[in-house]
Amino acid sequence: MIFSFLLTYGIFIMTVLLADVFYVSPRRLVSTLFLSETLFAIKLSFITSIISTFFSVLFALPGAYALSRYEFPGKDIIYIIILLPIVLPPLIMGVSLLVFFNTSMGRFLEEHGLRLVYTVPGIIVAQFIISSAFAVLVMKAAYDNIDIRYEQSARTLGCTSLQAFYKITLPLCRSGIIAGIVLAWARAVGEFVPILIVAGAMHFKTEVLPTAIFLRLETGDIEGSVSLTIIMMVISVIALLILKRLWARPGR
Amino acid sequence: MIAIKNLNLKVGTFELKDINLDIKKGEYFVILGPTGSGKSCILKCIAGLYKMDSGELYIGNKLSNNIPIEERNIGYVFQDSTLFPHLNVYQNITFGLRLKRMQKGLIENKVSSICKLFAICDLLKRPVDNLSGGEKQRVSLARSMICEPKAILLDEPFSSLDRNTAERLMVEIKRIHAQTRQTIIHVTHNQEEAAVLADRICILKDGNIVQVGTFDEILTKPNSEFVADFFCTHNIFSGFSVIEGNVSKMEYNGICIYSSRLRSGEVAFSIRPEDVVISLNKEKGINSFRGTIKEIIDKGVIIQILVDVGFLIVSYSLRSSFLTMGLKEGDSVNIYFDKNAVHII
Repeated sequence: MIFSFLLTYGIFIMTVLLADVFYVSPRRLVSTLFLSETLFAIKLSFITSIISTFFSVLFALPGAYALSRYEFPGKDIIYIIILLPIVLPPLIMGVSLLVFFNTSMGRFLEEHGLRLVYTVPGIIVAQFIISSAFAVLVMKAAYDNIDIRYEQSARTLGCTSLQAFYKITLPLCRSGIIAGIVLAWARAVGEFVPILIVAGAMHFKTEVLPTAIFLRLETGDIEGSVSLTIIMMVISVIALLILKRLWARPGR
Repeated sequence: MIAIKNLNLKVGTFELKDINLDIKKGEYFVILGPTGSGKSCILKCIAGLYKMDSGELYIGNKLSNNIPIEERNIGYVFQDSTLFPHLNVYQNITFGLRLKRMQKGLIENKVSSICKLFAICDLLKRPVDNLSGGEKQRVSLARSMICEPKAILLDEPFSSLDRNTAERLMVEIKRIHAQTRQTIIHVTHNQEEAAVLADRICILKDGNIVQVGTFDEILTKPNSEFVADFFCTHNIFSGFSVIEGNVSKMEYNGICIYSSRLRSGEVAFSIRPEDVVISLNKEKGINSFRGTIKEIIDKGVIIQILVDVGFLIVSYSLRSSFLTMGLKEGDSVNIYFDKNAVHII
């Protein structure tokens, strides 16, 4: 019963996705892939998502550890705020970011070199907000799964707290942490609405893959839009395959 | 070796109150108490895993309250194995030595002797997931001991093992302690472990130390009804005592009981069930009474017999002698206990 339900649902999703594949000819797919605009969008997507993932991990590794291991005032509220971008509609995050840069604090930041509106750093910030939330969520779960007594044992054997972290905790939740990184990156690559609002959709300037799909749709180039969708789909599938492989490994 | 002075600690709603302990070098010290009495909290304070609210901790005559965990050189073995699952047995055992960047040759020598001591030479290449519960605890002990700690703290080390494995490991630890004279502080709620292993025992109740002494002292001379009850003395009574010559005469439910310990006034007294002898013959003399068997509880090797002699008294009988006497509920029997077996609390 459950099996047939899962099978039906799987077939439904595959049919929806494969519809894209059958919609465009392979020639159009290849020609779209090698368009300079597409290559720019792929390159920009990769560069911005890697940078935002890097900062997400830099934030989530210690942040999720602190949330998992320590008790401090306001801990629950801080955790909820970090996760808020996951549940809030993307439109709200985008509008809020734009409004923020029109406040005195936002203007102060802009005047001191942090120009984000209609710039590539704006894309990175928009991606960071959502990908760091996912990184914290997954990494905290990974830390929660590791018994604190492993670290305590390591401390009694002569480790400092930092040594206990990288010699024991990190290797034990390695798979969880890599899963967090992959998820954060996948979310960064797929981020769209806040990027569109904060960084705009300027050709050869702030056009990432999701923006490119949107721009083609807007101009009625359905085939071009679907071709880019397939390219994004391939990227997502590869990310998911890596994720599944890592979850299945022992020592999670 | 390890001295605790006026230790106070609050964890949630639980409190350790004014704990004072002095553990000698080479001693096997057991902290015994029911669940939730604060046994593990004391160990965690010694190891540095809990920060004391007040009091002083001396490790080897050095005030150690603010010394970081890793610099205390105190081994800790938890109830469940905390062997690192991503390392094999050899890597686990040598973890502390490799941290100190010890020479490889020296490490090998130490591993060789510790493995012989714990009989784990054939386990070295095994992943820790493949070890049995007893093997895991032996490796955990070896991992702690190889670092030559000032003391090893054992936090209920047998509670996750089956009875046979626990008994075998207990005997091994006793042998290893006799060989090495390593200072060990062992926390348990099991009196049997304390009886087999301890040089001295500390009884803990609700965060307070109730009594410290050897097992025999605590068993035969409990200083409170709690201690007597914790050691399943069962026979704890109270009455008015008067000294008559070289004995104390206590009256309980109109019956006179004599003790060789001298004290007068209102007292509580206890009699170990194994000191209460049941016979079928009518006997006369002090502390000899006729009574009726009210209840028989089969505990395997030991049979617990409840006899009404005007008050209820519990006797333990070995299964073999119980079967020889052919006792059953309602039988009229004689009970007797020596005046030295009556302990005035």
